[in-house]
Amino acid sequence: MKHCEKYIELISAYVDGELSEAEVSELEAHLVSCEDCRRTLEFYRELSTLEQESMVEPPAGLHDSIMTAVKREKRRPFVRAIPALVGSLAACLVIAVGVGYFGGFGGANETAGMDVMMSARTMDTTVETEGAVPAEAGGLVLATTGAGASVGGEVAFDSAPNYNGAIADSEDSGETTAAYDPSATVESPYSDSSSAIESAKLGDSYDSDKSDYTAPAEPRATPAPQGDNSTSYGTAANDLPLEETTAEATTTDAPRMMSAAMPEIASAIVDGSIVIDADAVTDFSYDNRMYELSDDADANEMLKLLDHFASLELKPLGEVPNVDGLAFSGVTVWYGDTILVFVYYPDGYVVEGDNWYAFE
Amino acid sequence: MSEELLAQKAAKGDSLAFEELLRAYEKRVYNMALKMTANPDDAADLTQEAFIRVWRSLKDFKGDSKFSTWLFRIVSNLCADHARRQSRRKETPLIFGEEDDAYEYEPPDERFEPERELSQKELREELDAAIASLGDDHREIFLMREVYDLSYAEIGEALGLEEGTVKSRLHRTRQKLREFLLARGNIPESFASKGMKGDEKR
Repeated sequence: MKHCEKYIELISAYVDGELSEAEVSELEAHLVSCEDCRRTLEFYRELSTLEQESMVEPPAGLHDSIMTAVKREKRRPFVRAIPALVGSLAACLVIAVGVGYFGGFGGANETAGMDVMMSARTMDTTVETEGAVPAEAGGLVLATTGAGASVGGEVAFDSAPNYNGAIADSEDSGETTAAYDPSATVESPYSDSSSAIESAKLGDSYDSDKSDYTAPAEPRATPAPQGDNSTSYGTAANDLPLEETTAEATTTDAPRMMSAAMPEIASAIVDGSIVIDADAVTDFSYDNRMYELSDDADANEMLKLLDHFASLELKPLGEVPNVDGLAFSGVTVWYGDTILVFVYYPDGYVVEGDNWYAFE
Repeated sequence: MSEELLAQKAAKGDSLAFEELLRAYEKRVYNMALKMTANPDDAADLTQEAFIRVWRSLKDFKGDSKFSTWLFRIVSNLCADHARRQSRRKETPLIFGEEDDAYEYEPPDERFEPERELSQKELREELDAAIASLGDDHREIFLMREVYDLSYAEIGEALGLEEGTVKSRLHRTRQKLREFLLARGNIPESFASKGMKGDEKR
Protein backbone atom coordinates (compact mmCIF):
# COMPACT_ATOMS: atom_id res chain seq x y z
CA MET A 1 0.00 0.00 0.00
CA LYS A 2 1.29 3.33 -0.87
CA HIS A 3 -0.10 5.95 1.43
CA CYS A 4 0.27 4.39 4.78
CA GLU A 5 1.49 7.46 6.63
CA LYS A 6 -2.00 8.59 7.27
CA TYR A 7 -2.84 5.19 8.67
CA ILE A 8 0.19 5.06 10.86
CA GLU A 9 -1.02 8.10 12.72
CA LEU A 10 -4.44 6.49 12.99
CA ILE A 11 -2.82 3.36 14.33
CA SER A 12 -1.20 5.29 17.11
CA ALA A 13 -4.53 6.74 18.18
CA TYR A 14 -6.19 3.37 17.64
CA VAL A 15 -3.88 1.76 20.15
CA ASP A 16 -4.78 4.55 22.55
CA GLY A 17 -8.49 4.06 22.01
CA GLU A 18 -8.85 7.58 20.68
CA LEU A 19 -10.35 7.00 17.26
CA SER A 20 -13.88 7.75 16.26
CA GLU A 21 -16.02 4.87 15.05
CA ALA A 22 -15.67 6.00 11.48
CA GLU A 23 -11.91 6.12 11.78
CA VAL A 24 -11.84 2.70 13.36
CA SER A 25 -13.80 1.27 10.45
CA GLU A 26 -11.58 2.94 7.95
CA LEU A 27 -8.42 1.75 9.61
CA GLU A 28 -9.59 -1.78 10.14
CA ALA A 29 -10.54 -2.05 6.50
CA HIS A 30 -7.07 -0.90 5.58
CA LEU A 31 -5.39 -3.30 7.96
CA VAL A 32 -6.94 -6.26 6.26
CA SER A 33 -5.04 -5.49 3.11
CA CYS A 34 -1.84 -3.96 4.44
CA GLU A 35 0.70 -6.10 6.17
CA ASP A 36 2.98 -3.18 6.94
CA CYS A 37 0.30 -1.45 8.90
CA ARG A 38 -0.54 -4.65 10.71
CA ARG A 39 3.08 -4.82 11.78
CA THR A 40 2.97 -1.24 12.89
CA LEU A 41 -0.10 -1.92 14.94
CA GLU A 42 1.50 -4.94 16.46
CA PHE A 43 4.59 -2.98 17.29
CA TYR A 44 2.65 -0.20 18.92
CA ARG A 45 0.72 -2.67 20.99
CA GLU A 46 3.92 -4.33 21.99
CA LEU A 47 5.31 -0.98 23.04
CA SER A 48 2.35 -0.42 25.33
CA THR A 49 2.59 -3.85 26.80
CA LEU A 50 6.29 -3.60 27.38
CA GLU A 51 5.94 -0.21 28.94
CA GLN A 52 3.31 -1.36 31.36
CA GLU A 53 5.25 -4.50 32.09
CA SER A 54 8.28 -2.50 32.99
CA MET A 55 6.59 -0.66 35.80
CA VAL A 56 8.27 -1.39 39.07
CA GLU A 57 7.07 -1.14 42.61
CA PRO A 58 8.12 1.99 44.44
CA PRO A 59 10.79 1.45 47.07
CA ALA A 60 9.55 -0.05 50.29
CA GLY A 61 9.10 2.69 52.79
CA LEU A 62 8.30 5.42 50.32
CA HIS A 63 4.62 5.24 51.10
CA ASP A 64 5.21 5.45 54.84
CA SER A 65 7.73 8.18 54.40
CA ILE A 66 5.22 10.28 52.51
CA MET A 67 2.50 9.68 55.07
CA THR A 68 4.84 10.55 57.90
CA ALA A 69 5.75 13.79 56.22
CA VAL A 70 2.11 14.59 55.60
CA LYS A 71 1.09 13.91 59.15
CA ARG A 72 3.93 16.00 60.43
CA GLU A 73 2.65 18.87 58.36
CA LYS A 74 -0.74 18.42 59.83
CA ARG A 75 0.52 18.75 63.34
CA ARG A 76 2.71 21.70 62.92
CA PRO A 77 2.28 24.38 65.46
CA PHE A 78 0.86 27.51 64.21
CA VAL A 79 0.78 31.07 65.17
CA ARG A 80 -1.09 33.63 63.33
CA ALA A 81 -1.00 37.04 64.72
CA ILE A 82 -0.20 40.63 64.17
CA PRO A 83 -2.09 41.15 61.01
CA ALA A 84 -0.62 43.00 58.19
CA LEU A 85 2.52 44.56 59.31
CA VAL A 86 3.81 46.20 56.28
CA GLY A 87 7.26 45.54 55.17
CA SER A 88 9.23 44.81 52.17
CA LEU A 89 9.88 41.29 51.11
CA ALA A 90 13.32 42.36 50.23
CA ALA A 91 14.45 42.10 53.75
CA CYS A 92 13.53 40.24 56.80
CA LEU A 93 13.88 41.59 60.21
CA VAL A 94 13.11 40.37 63.58
CA ILE A 95 12.51 42.60 66.47
CA ALA A 96 13.14 41.40 69.92
CA VAL A 97 10.69 42.68 72.39
CA GLY A 98 11.56 42.02 75.95
CA VAL A 99 9.37 41.12 78.81
CA GLY A 100 9.74 44.50 80.31
CA TYR A 101 7.97 45.95 77.44
CA PHE A 102 4.79 44.15 78.10
CA GLY A 103 4.96 44.84 81.78
CA GLY A 104 5.48 48.45 81.07
CA PHE A 105 2.30 48.66 79.22
CA GLY A 106 0.15 47.04 81.78
CA GLY A 107 -1.97 44.09 81.01
CA ALA A 108 -0.51 41.22 79.12
CA ASN A 109 0.34 39.59 82.34
CA GLU A 110 0.41 36.26 80.76
CA THR A 111 3.39 37.23 78.79
CA ALA A 112 5.53 37.73 81.82
CA GLY A 113 8.56 35.64 81.53
CA MET A 114 8.28 35.35 77.84
CA ASP A 115 10.43 36.82 75.27
CA VAL A 116 8.63 37.80 72.23
CA MET A 117 10.45 38.01 69.06
CA MET A 118 8.72 39.80 66.40
CA SER A 119 9.35 40.83 62.93
CA ALA A 120 7.20 42.27 60.29
CA ARG A 121 6.36 41.14 56.88
CA THR A 122 4.19 42.26 54.08
CA MET A 123 1.19 40.20 53.39
CA ASP A 124 -2.26 40.51 52.12
CA THR A 125 -4.20 41.29 55.16
CA THR A 126 -2.51 39.50 57.89
CA VAL A 127 0.90 38.47 58.72
CA GLU A 128 1.09 34.88 59.46
CA THR A 129 3.65 33.80 61.84
CA GLU A 130 4.53 30.56 63.20
CA GLY A 131 6.65 29.64 66.04
CA ALA A 132 8.02 26.60 67.64
CA VAL A 133 6.51 27.43 70.86
CA PRO A 134 6.07 24.78 73.36
CA ALA A 135 4.30 26.37 76.25
CA GLU A 136 6.51 24.64 78.68
CA ALA A 137 9.51 26.17 77.11
CA GLY A 138 8.39 29.46 78.47
CA GLY A 139 9.10 31.20 75.27
CA LEU A 140 6.96 32.40 72.51
CA VAL A 141 8.31 33.11 69.16
CA LEU A 142 6.37 35.33 66.99
CA ALA A 143 8.02 35.90 63.76
CA THR A 144 7.18 38.01 60.83
CA THR A 145 9.37 39.71 58.40
CA GLY A 146 9.76 43.24 57.41
CA ALA A 147 11.94 45.73 55.73
CA GLY A 148 15.25 46.11 57.32
CA ALA A 149 16.08 49.57 58.33
CA SER A 150 12.58 50.80 58.52
CA VAL A 151 11.42 48.54 61.23
CA GLY A 152 10.03 51.21 63.40
CA GLY A 153 8.19 52.74 60.59
CA GLU A 154 6.96 49.50 59.26
CA VAL A 155 5.67 48.14 62.42
CA ALA A 156 4.25 51.18 63.90
CA PHE A 157 3.13 53.42 61.22
CA ASP A 158 2.18 51.42 58.31
CA SER A 159 0.16 48.98 60.18
CA ALA A 160 -2.05 51.58 61.68
CA PRO A 161 -2.42 54.91 60.08
CA ASN A 162 -3.25 56.32 63.43
CA TYR A 163 0.28 56.02 64.36
CA ASN A 164 1.40 58.13 61.62
CA GLY A 165 0.34 60.87 63.89
CA ALA A 166 2.35 59.52 66.71
CA ILE A 167 5.33 59.16 64.55
CA ALA A 168 5.07 62.54 63.08
CA ASP A 169 4.76 64.02 66.52
CA SER A 170 7.93 62.44 67.60
CA GLU A 171 10.10 63.33 64.77
CA ASP A 172 12.69 64.43 67.18
CA SER A 173 13.23 60.98 68.51
CA GLY A 174 16.23 60.33 66.47
CA GLU A 175 16.95 56.93 65.21
CA THR A 176 13.56 55.50 64.93
CA THR A 177 12.21 58.32 62.95
CA ALA A 178 15.27 58.43 60.87
CA ALA A 179 14.80 54.84 60.11
CA TYR A 180 11.32 55.38 58.91
CA ASP A 181 11.33 55.06 55.24
CA PRO A 182 8.10 55.87 53.54
CA SER A 183 9.44 54.70 50.28
CA ALA A 184 9.48 51.21 51.56
CA THR A 185 5.80 51.32 52.00
CA VAL A 186 5.23 52.84 48.65
CA GLU A 187 6.64 49.73 47.15
CA SER A 188 4.31 47.65 49.09
CA PRO A 189 2.31 45.34 46.93
CA TYR A 190 -0.96 46.46 48.35
CA SER A 191 -2.27 48.78 45.86
CA ASP A 192 -5.88 48.21 45.40
CA SER A 193 -8.55 50.78 45.29
CA SER A 194 -9.30 50.79 48.94
CA SER A 195 -5.70 51.49 49.62
CA ALA A 196 -5.86 54.43 47.38
CA ILE A 197 -8.85 55.68 49.24
CA GLU A 198 -7.09 55.14 52.46
CA SER A 199 -4.11 57.03 51.29
CA ALA A 200 -6.25 59.85 50.18
CA LYS A 201 -7.85 60.07 53.54
CA LEU A 202 -4.55 59.99 55.22
CA GLY A 203 -3.52 62.77 53.01
CA ASP A 204 -6.45 64.78 54.19
CA SER A 205 -5.49 64.19 57.73
CA TYR A 206 -1.89 65.00 57.47
CA ASP A 207 -0.87 66.90 54.49
CA SER A 208 -2.16 70.28 55.42
CA ASP A 209 -0.35 70.60 58.68
CA LYS A 210 2.55 68.28 58.13
CA SER A 211 3.89 69.34 54.89
CA ASP A 212 6.97 67.25 55.26
CA TYR A 213 5.10 64.16 56.12
CA THR A 214 4.78 61.58 53.52
CA ALA A 215 1.57 59.78 53.82
CA PRO A 216 2.31 56.15 53.69
CA ALA A 217 0.90 54.51 50.73
CA GLU A 218 0.85 51.53 52.75
CA PRO A 219 -1.93 49.88 52.36
CA ARG A 220 -1.46 47.17 54.60
CA ALA A 221 -4.71 47.76 56.23
CA THR A 222 -6.68 46.63 53.29
CA PRO A 223 -8.11 43.62 54.82
CA ALA A 224 -10.40 42.41 52.64
CA PRO A 225 -10.47 39.84 50.22
CA GLN A 226 -9.61 37.11 52.48
CA GLY A 227 -13.08 36.00 53.03
CA ASP A 228 -13.96 35.12 56.49
CA ASN A 229 -11.04 36.90 57.87
CA SER A 230 -12.76 40.10 57.29
CA THR A 231 -15.29 39.30 59.91
CA SER A 232 -12.73 40.02 62.49
CA TYR A 233 -11.64 43.20 60.93
CA GLY A 234 -14.13 45.31 62.63
CA THR A 235 -14.26 48.84 63.66
CA ALA A 236 -11.36 48.29 65.88
CA ALA A 237 -9.68 51.45 64.87
CA ASN A 238 -12.44 53.40 66.43
CA ASP A 239 -11.86 51.66 69.67
CA LEU A 240 -8.28 52.59 69.88
CA PRO A 241 -7.33 53.78 73.27
CA LEU A 242 -4.93 56.33 72.05
CA GLU A 243 -6.29 59.80 72.57
CA GLU A 244 -3.61 61.44 70.58
CA THR A 245 -4.60 59.65 67.48
CA THR A 246 -5.10 62.24 64.87
CA ALA A 247 -6.41 60.18 62.07
CA GLU A 248 -10.12 59.90 62.02
CA ALA A 249 -9.67 56.22 62.13
CA THR A 250 -12.02 56.01 59.28
CA THR A 251 -9.73 53.98 57.23
CA THR A 252 -8.49 51.16 59.28
CA ASP A 253 -10.21 47.91 59.08
CA ALA A 254 -7.31 46.54 60.93
CA PRO A 255 -7.89 43.49 62.97
CA ARG A 256 -8.54 44.45 66.45
CA MET A 257 -5.73 42.64 68.01
CA MET A 258 -3.36 44.59 65.99
CA SER A 259 -4.87 47.96 66.11
CA ALA A 260 -5.18 47.83 69.83
CA ALA A 261 -1.70 46.64 70.45
CA MET A 262 0.39 48.11 67.75
CA PRO A 263 -0.14 51.74 68.67
CA GLU A 264 1.48 51.28 71.97
CA ILE A 265 4.22 49.23 70.51
CA ALA A 266 4.75 51.96 68.04
CA SER A 267 4.82 54.57 70.72
CA ALA A 268 7.21 52.53 72.73
CA ILE A 269 9.49 52.24 69.81
CA VAL A 270 9.32 55.91 69.20
CA ASP A 271 9.93 56.94 72.76
CA GLY A 272 12.69 54.47 73.20
CA SER A 273 11.00 52.16 75.67
CA ILE A 274 11.64 49.42 73.26
CA VAL A 275 15.02 49.19 71.78
CA ILE A 276 15.15 47.34 68.58
CA ASP A 277 18.38 45.85 67.67
CA ALA A 278 17.80 44.89 64.14
CA ASP A 279 21.22 43.47 63.76
CA ALA A 280 21.06 41.27 66.76
CA VAL A 281 17.97 39.32 66.00
CA THR A 282 18.10 37.27 62.94
CA ASP A 283 16.13 34.18 63.30
CA PHE A 284 12.78 32.72 62.72
CA SER A 285 11.40 29.71 64.39
CA TYR A 286 9.06 27.22 62.89
CA ASP A 287 8.21 23.69 63.70
CA ASN A 288 11.01 23.42 66.19
CA ARG A 289 13.51 24.57 63.71
CA MET A 290 15.31 27.84 63.68
CA TYR A 291 15.82 29.59 60.43
CA GLU A 292 18.71 31.95 60.20
CA LEU A 293 17.73 34.97 58.27
CA SER A 294 21.32 35.67 57.49
CA ASP A 295 21.33 32.47 55.53
CA ASP A 296 19.79 32.99 52.14
CA ALA A 297 18.49 29.48 51.84
CA ASP A 298 16.87 29.66 55.24
CA ALA A 299 15.41 33.03 54.59
CA ASN A 300 13.95 31.84 51.33
CA GLU A 301 12.55 28.80 52.98
CA MET A 302 10.96 30.96 55.59
CA LEU A 303 9.37 33.21 53.03
CA LYS A 304 8.01 30.20 51.28
CA LEU A 305 6.49 28.99 54.49
CA LEU A 306 4.91 32.32 55.11
CA ASP A 307 3.54 32.40 51.62
CA HIS A 308 2.09 29.03 52.13
CA PHE A 309 0.41 30.05 55.33
CA ALA A 310 -0.90 33.16 53.75
CA SER A 311 -2.65 31.06 51.19
CA LEU A 312 -4.61 29.04 53.68
CA GLU A 313 -8.21 29.82 54.13
CA LEU A 314 -9.76 30.26 57.48
CA LYS A 315 -12.97 28.83 58.69
CA PRO A 316 -14.64 31.00 61.27
CA LEU A 317 -15.46 29.29 64.51
CA GLY A 318 -17.16 32.17 66.21
CA GLU A 319 -16.11 33.89 69.34
CA VAL A 320 -13.21 32.65 71.27
CA PRO A 321 -14.72 30.60 74.02
CA ASN A 322 -11.94 30.97 76.50
CA VAL A 323 -10.33 34.29 76.92
CA ASP A 324 -8.18 33.58 79.86
CA GLY A 325 -4.53 33.50 79.23
CA LEU A 326 -3.53 30.03 78.38
CA ALA A 327 -6.34 28.75 76.34
CA PHE A 328 -6.97 25.45 74.74
CA SER A 329 -3.76 23.63 74.44
CA GLY A 330 -1.83 26.52 73.17
CA VAL A 331 -0.29 29.69 74.34
CA THR A 332 -2.07 32.96 74.25
CA VAL A 333 -0.32 36.20 74.63
CA TRP A 334 -2.40 39.03 75.80
CA TYR A 335 -1.76 42.62 75.53
CA GLY A 336 -4.24 44.59 77.47
CA ASP A 337 -7.57 43.30 76.33
CA THR A 338 -6.20 42.12 73.11
CA ILE A 339 -4.93 38.79 72.07
CA LEU A 340 -1.68 39.42 70.45
CA VAL A 341 -0.65 35.94 69.58
CA PHE A 342 -2.30 32.66 69.79
CA VAL A 343 -0.47 29.45 69.35
CA TYR A 344 -2.35 26.28 69.17
CA TYR A 345 -1.42 22.70 68.94
CA PRO A 346 -1.78 20.59 67.02
CA ASP A 347 -3.69 21.82 64.05
CA GLY A 348 -3.25 25.50 64.13
CA TYR A 349 -6.03 27.75 65.04
CA VAL A 350 -6.03 31.42 64.67
CA VAL A 351 -7.38 34.03 66.92
CA GLU A 352 -8.01 37.44 65.62
CA GLY A 353 -9.78 39.85 67.83
CA ASP A 354 -12.62 38.06 69.51
CA ASN A 355 -12.96 35.44 66.86
CA TRP A 356 -11.08 32.37 66.13
CA TYR A 357 -10.61 30.31 63.06
CA ALA A 358 -9.56 26.94 61.95
CA PHE A 359 -7.65 26.32 58.81
CA GLU A 360 -9.68 24.78 56.11
CA MET B 1 -15.68 7.09 46.70
CA SER B 2 -14.57 9.14 43.75
CA GLU B 3 -11.09 10.54 43.65
CA GLU B 4 -12.48 14.02 43.52
CA LEU B 5 -14.40 13.40 46.74
CA LEU B 6 -11.35 11.91 48.35
CA ALA B 7 -9.43 14.96 47.30
CA GLN B 8 -11.99 17.21 48.93
CA LYS B 9 -11.75 15.30 52.16
CA ALA B 10 -8.00 15.30 52.04
CA ALA B 11 -8.05 19.03 51.46
CA LYS B 12 -9.79 19.36 54.79
CA GLY B 13 -7.04 17.50 56.50
CA ASP B 14 -8.30 13.94 56.21
CA SER B 15 -5.08 12.03 55.96
CA LEU B 16 -6.86 8.72 55.43
CA ALA B 17 -8.49 10.08 52.32
CA PHE B 18 -5.14 11.36 51.23
CA GLU B 19 -3.61 7.96 51.79
CA GLU B 20 -6.17 6.37 49.49
CA LEU B 21 -5.17 8.75 46.76
CA LEU B 22 -1.55 8.07 47.48
CA ARG B 23 -2.12 4.34 47.14
CA ALA B 24 -3.92 4.78 43.88
CA TYR B 25 -1.18 6.83 42.30
CA GLU B 26 2.14 6.29 44.00
CA LYS B 27 3.23 3.49 41.72
CA ARG B 28 2.43 5.38 38.58
CA VAL B 29 3.95 8.58 39.84
CA TYR B 30 7.07 6.76 40.93
CA ASN B 31 7.44 5.01 37.60
CA MET B 32 6.90 8.19 35.69
CA ALA B 33 9.54 9.87 37.82
CA LEU B 34 11.83 6.91 37.38
CA LYS B 35 11.59 7.04 33.63
CA MET B 36 11.99 10.77 33.60
CA THR B 37 14.94 10.93 35.94
CA ALA B 38 16.61 7.59 35.22
CA ASN B 39 17.60 7.53 38.85
CA PRO B 40 15.74 5.55 41.52
CA ASP B 41 16.78 7.88 44.34
CA ASP B 42 15.73 10.96 42.45
CA ALA B 43 12.51 9.25 41.50
CA ALA B 44 11.70 8.47 45.12
CA ASP B 45 12.52 12.03 46.18
CA LEU B 46 10.46 13.43 43.39
CA THR B 47 7.53 11.19 44.23
CA GLN B 48 7.62 12.27 47.83
CA GLU B 49 7.91 15.89 46.90
CA ALA B 50 5.01 15.57 44.51
CA PHE B 51 2.68 14.09 47.08
CA ILE B 52 3.64 16.55 49.77
CA ARG B 53 2.97 19.29 47.31
CA VAL B 54 -0.38 17.70 46.57
CA TRP B 55 -1.18 17.62 50.26
CA ARG B 56 -0.28 21.24 50.70
CA SER B 57 -2.15 22.50 47.72
CA LEU B 58 -5.19 20.27 47.71
CA LYS B 59 -7.24 23.21 48.86
CA ASP B 60 -6.52 24.73 45.48
CA PHE B 61 -7.90 21.72 43.69
CA LYS B 62 -11.18 23.02 42.43
CA GLY B 63 -12.62 19.82 41.16
CA ASP B 64 -13.21 21.26 37.72
CA SER B 65 -10.55 18.97 36.40
CA LYS B 66 -9.97 15.38 37.25
CA PHE B 67 -7.75 14.67 40.21
CA SER B 68 -5.47 12.56 38.03
CA THR B 69 -4.92 15.40 35.61
CA TRP B 70 -4.24 17.83 38.39
CA LEU B 71 -1.83 15.45 40.05
CA PHE B 72 0.09 14.81 36.88
CA ARG B 73 0.44 18.47 36.21
CA ILE B 74 2.24 18.72 39.53
CA VAL B 75 4.37 15.72 38.71
CA SER B 76 5.07 17.04 35.28
CA ASN B 77 6.24 20.36 36.67
CA LEU B 78 8.49 18.66 39.16
CA CYS B 79 9.96 16.47 36.44
CA ALA B 80 10.60 19.55 34.34
CA ASP B 81 12.32 21.25 37.27
CA HIS B 82 14.43 18.19 37.77
CA ALA B 83 15.32 18.03 34.11
CA ARG B 84 16.44 21.65 34.19
CA ARG B 85 18.66 20.98 37.16
CA GLN B 86 20.13 17.97 35.44
CA SER B 87 20.45 19.50 32.04
CA ARG B 88 24.13 20.11 32.45
CA ARG B 89 24.76 16.62 33.58
CA LYS B 90 24.39 13.93 31.05
CA GLU B 91 23.88 10.68 32.82
CA THR B 92 23.79 7.27 31.37
CA PRO B 93 20.23 6.11 31.60
CA LEU B 94 19.67 3.15 33.77
CA ILE B 95 17.90 0.13 32.57
CA PHE B 96 14.97 -0.73 34.65
CA GLY B 97 13.60 -4.10 33.75
CA GLU B 98 12.49 -6.24 36.59
CA GLU B 99 13.50 -9.82 36.17
CA ASP B 100 10.18 -11.19 35.20
CA ASP B 101 10.82 -13.82 32.67
CA ALA B 102 7.49 -15.42 33.25
CA TYR B 103 6.04 -12.76 31.05
CA GLU B 104 3.68 -14.10 28.50
CA TYR B 105 2.12 -11.86 26.01
CA GLU B 106 -0.76 -13.06 23.97
CA PRO B 107 -1.44 -11.11 20.86
CA PRO B 108 -5.06 -10.39 20.27
CA ASP B 109 -4.90 -11.95 16.88
CA GLU B 110 -2.60 -14.80 16.18
CA ARG B 111 -2.24 -13.94 12.57
CA PHE B 112 -0.20 -10.95 13.68
CA GLU B 113 2.03 -12.73 16.10
CA PRO B 114 5.55 -11.49 15.55
CA GLU B 115 8.57 -13.66 15.52
CA ARG B 116 10.25 -13.57 18.89
CA GLU B 117 13.82 -12.74 18.21
CA LEU B 118 14.53 -11.17 21.54
CA SER B 119 13.32 -12.18 24.94
CA GLN B 120 10.72 -9.94 26.48
CA LYS B 121 13.22 -8.80 29.01
CA GLU B 122 15.65 -7.82 26.34
CA LEU B 123 12.91 -6.06 24.51
CA ARG B 124 12.01 -4.08 27.59
CA GLU B 125 15.59 -3.07 28.03
CA GLU B 126 15.71 -2.01 24.43
CA LEU B 127 12.57 -0.02 24.94
CA ASP B 128 14.00 1.68 28.01
CA ALA B 129 16.99 2.69 25.99
CA ALA B 130 14.72 3.93 23.25
CA ILE B 131 12.64 5.96 25.69
CA ALA B 132 15.77 7.39 27.23
CA SER B 133 16.78 8.55 23.77
CA LEU B 134 13.66 10.65 23.39
CA GLY B 135 13.51 14.33 24.06
CA ASP B 136 11.82 15.26 27.34
CA ASP B 137 8.61 16.33 25.66
CA HIS B 138 8.17 13.12 23.75
CA ARG B 139 9.20 10.97 26.66
CA GLU B 140 6.81 12.68 28.99
CA ILE B 141 3.83 12.45 26.73
CA PHE B 142 4.54 8.82 25.97
CA LEU B 143 4.77 7.99 29.66
CA MET B 144 1.64 9.90 30.46
CA ARG B 145 -0.14 7.81 27.93
CA GLU B 146 1.41 4.45 28.66
CA VAL B 147 2.27 4.63 32.34
CA TYR B 148 -0.44 6.91 33.60
CA ASP B 149 -2.99 5.73 31.12
CA LEU B 150 -4.35 9.21 30.61
CA SER B 151 -6.63 10.02 27.72
CA TYR B 152 -5.61 12.51 25.08
CA ALA B 153 -7.95 15.03 26.62
CA GLU B 154 -6.40 14.56 30.03
CA ILE B 155 -2.89 14.78 28.69
CA GLY B 156 -3.84 17.89 26.80
CA GLU B 157 -5.27 19.45 29.90
CA ALA B 158 -2.28 18.56 32.03
CA LEU B 159 0.23 19.84 29.53
CA GLY B 160 -1.77 22.66 28.05
CA LEU B 161 -1.91 21.12 24.60
CA GLU B 162 -4.62 20.64 22.04
CA GLU B 163 -5.81 17.08 21.70
CA GLY B 164 -4.68 17.10 18.10
CA THR B 165 -1.20 18.01 19.25
CA VAL B 166 -1.23 15.21 21.76
CA LYS B 167 -2.28 12.82 19.06
CA SER B 168 0.38 13.82 16.58
CA ARG B 169 3.07 14.02 19.24
CA LEU B 170 2.33 10.52 20.41
CA HIS B 171 2.35 9.33 16.85
CA ARG B 172 5.70 10.97 16.29
CA THR B 173 7.04 9.54 19.53
CA ARG B 174 6.14 6.03 18.51
CA GLN B 175 7.79 6.53 15.19
CA LYS B 176 10.92 7.72 16.91
CA LEU B 177 10.92 4.72 19.18
CA ARG B 178 10.64 2.40 16.25
CA GLU B 179 13.33 4.21 14.34
CA PHE B 180 15.60 3.97 17.33
CA LEU B 181 14.98 0.27 17.74
CA LEU B 182 15.36 -0.40 14.06
CA ALA B 183 18.63 1.46 13.95
CA ARG B 184 19.92 -0.76 16.71
CA GLY B 185 18.84 -3.73 14.70
CA ASN B 186 17.36 -5.25 17.77
CA ILE B 187 13.73 -5.50 17.19
CA PRO B 188 12.02 -8.39 15.57
CA GLU B 189 12.04 -8.11 11.84
CA SER B 190 8.31 -8.47 11.78
CA PHE B 191 7.96 -5.14 13.58
CA ALA B 192 10.01 -3.42 10.99
CA SER B 193 7.30 -2.22 8.76
CA LYS B 194 8.85 -1.32 5.49
CA GLY B 195 6.60 1.65 5.32
CA MET B 196 8.86 3.18 7.90
CA LYS B 197 11.75 3.28 5.51
CA GLY B 198 11.09 6.15 3.25
CA ASP B 199 9.41 5.39 -0.03
CA GLU B 200 10.17 1.78 -0.10
CA LYS B 201 7.16 -0.18 -1.12
CA ARG B 202 6.39 -3.73 -0.64
